[in-house]
Amino acid sequence: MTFFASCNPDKSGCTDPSASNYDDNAEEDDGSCSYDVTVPADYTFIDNNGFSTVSFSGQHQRLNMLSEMTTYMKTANGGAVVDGATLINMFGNESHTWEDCDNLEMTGSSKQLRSKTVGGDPETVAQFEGWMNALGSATTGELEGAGVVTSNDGTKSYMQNAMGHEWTQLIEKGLMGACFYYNISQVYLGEGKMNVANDDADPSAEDYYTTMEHHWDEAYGYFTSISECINNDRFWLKYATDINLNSRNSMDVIDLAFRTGRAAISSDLLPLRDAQIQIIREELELVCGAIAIHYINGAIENIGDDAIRNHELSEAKAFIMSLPYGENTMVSLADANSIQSTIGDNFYNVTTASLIDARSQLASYLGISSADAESL
Amino acid sequence: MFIKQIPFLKAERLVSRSAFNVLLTLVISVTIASCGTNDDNNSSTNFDRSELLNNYADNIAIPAYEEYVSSTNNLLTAVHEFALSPEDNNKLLTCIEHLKIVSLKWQLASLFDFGPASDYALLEFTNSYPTSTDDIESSIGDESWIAGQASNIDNVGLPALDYLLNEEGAMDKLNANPERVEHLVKQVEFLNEQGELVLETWKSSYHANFVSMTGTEMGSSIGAMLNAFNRVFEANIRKQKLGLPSGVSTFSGNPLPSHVEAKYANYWSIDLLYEALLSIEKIYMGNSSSSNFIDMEGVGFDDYLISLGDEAFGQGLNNDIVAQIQSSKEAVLSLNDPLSEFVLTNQETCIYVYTELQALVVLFKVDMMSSLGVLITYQDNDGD
Repeated sequence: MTFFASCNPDKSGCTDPSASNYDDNAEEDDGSCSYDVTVPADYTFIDNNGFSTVSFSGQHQRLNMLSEMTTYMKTANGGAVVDGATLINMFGNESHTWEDCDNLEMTGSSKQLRSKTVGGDPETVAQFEGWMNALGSATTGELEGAGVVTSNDGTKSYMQNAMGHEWTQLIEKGLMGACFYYNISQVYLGEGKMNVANDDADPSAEDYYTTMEHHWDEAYGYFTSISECINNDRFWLKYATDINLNSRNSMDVIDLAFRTGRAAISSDLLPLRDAQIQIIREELELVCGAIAIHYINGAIENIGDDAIRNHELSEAKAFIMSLPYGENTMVSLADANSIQSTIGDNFYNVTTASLIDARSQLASYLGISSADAESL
Repeated sequence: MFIKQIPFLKAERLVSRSAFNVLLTLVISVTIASCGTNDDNNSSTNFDRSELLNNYADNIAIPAYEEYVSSTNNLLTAVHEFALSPEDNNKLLTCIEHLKIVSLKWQLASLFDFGPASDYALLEFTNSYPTSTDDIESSIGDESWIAGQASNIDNVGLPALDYLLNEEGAMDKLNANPERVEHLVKQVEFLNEQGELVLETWKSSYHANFVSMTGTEMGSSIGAMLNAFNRVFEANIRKQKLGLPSGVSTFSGNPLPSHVEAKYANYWSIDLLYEALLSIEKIYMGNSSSSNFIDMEGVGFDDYLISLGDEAFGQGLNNDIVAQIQSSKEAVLSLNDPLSEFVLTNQETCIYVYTELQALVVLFKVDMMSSLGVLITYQDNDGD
């Protein structure tokens, strides 16, 4: 099926020469450009000789690293001792032996989360490492006021600090933002990684993809849930699947944009690629904010249950903190800090009113209606 | 199943906002620009690159390492003497004086971060900061501690010595604990040994290799030297010495006073930054670094640009670079020690100095590299 937008009689039309309906006479672009490009139903791209041109093993390794760290951190909820130094070694992939259930040769590999966390920004790295150490100290009882808090119904237990912050959530969800989201939105879809060669594949040397294709795949890798050994969806793909605002599913939107953009690159249709970059950035930001709102709602519903409320607010805090890591975001670092202070730093003292206030702030930044925000 | 034809709304031009992305963008502009200028520039000049390489090897790189190693030798002698009488405060002061000289001499040597220096990871082992004081403390008295292990990069070199010699109460701590003094000696021995290894390699084998690769392609000596020059200037001078402490290069924009160079000495940071700029100037001009030939004008990148003719990318660019080096040096003089306090009280001034350095980075990394037809082959953030 082919779609051609009709041409306007005046001077507006499609002004992109790479489009199939490029209008030589048009002076102003009216958004009608369409392209001859084949978008596969799943993220499979092969060259003329049948070789796959897709590779993002570094991203796969980092997703698995964060999963292993999370599994280890969660043992604290059951009262186990967690070693802060071990977590820090995992973070930097230094002298750590991974379980590596996908057999990616993670142990001793050059891949690590730390150097990719906001490009290794020292302040951000120090914050995460500080939380890792604090979690470790809490599990050996060295941190006053910290301990395992159990829900009113006795079914859920979480290791939290004296203010109700749950390090495991701050670290896991925080790294989804500071590492995965940051790298997708700012790094791999940024000019530096996109204005690169797109004709340098050399199948005879087993280089099956161009530099641009590879960078795109790396962005996609951070969005996926890929694993042979971990069956549940995880990270951004999982959360995007949960968001259905404006009559569309965010996972479908982002996944389609990734496939379309990749096909556009392989056909050297860069304006089409750029449109997908815009879609991915905006939709991921929406997911990040919507998930934060979802957890604020969870805290409102469980306002009287210390363990659950604190848990939900820790999740919310991590996603709010993640919002400024996108490119050209609606929520700046200052905005995110302001929303956090509306919630309040001590989760034992939050009020329903302050949570509703924080929710409205978030929704208004992201253009989510108040009815939608309440139902998230 | 295949979906065909995706209509779309034309995207806004993607505008990178963060300094980080701006940098990455620069890498690319170089690549693109150099494609257009590579051939005509190089073919239209009879510039003798072999003379240039000989000048860099004989009059700058090797003398820079010789002076650096001579300063580490002196520091080693000083700590050995201090070790014999650790109660003598004057002996400690002598060590500190020598450490400052070593730190200054290091600035020029650090810019030759390719070839032997890169094989021995000299830059990483010599000046990675902030240093891990926890690791330093835990390695004192540890017989199994080996300085040259990669995991010790964050607790060896000049920053570790700065801590051991300049921290508050250093004298008392050293005097009270022979193992601390022993560790100090081990550290200086390692620093000295690394410098000697690199110098020896340059003299014995790398020199011949270096002067023979006269092209400008990837892997050529000019390519290796200019990539190191740009990378060290960008990452280790502009970002590390000023960008991070002042908050220009942090995500939050908050200053990080604990990230200044030589933070325990507290009054060296600006001297070291200034010395680094003088070193940049020396290398660009091809001026001899040997104290026997003070201000000796050698064949440098300035001459190379001038040889391209009376063009914006030739002599004109050289004029711009010379002027920008000058204004960067002047700008640095508007900073005050201790830098760790200055970044908190005068962030605006720091931002101004940073923009001066940034302008110089652009002239070198984008314009000069393009004029000379040399590709930037390093990236600010590695792939995968």
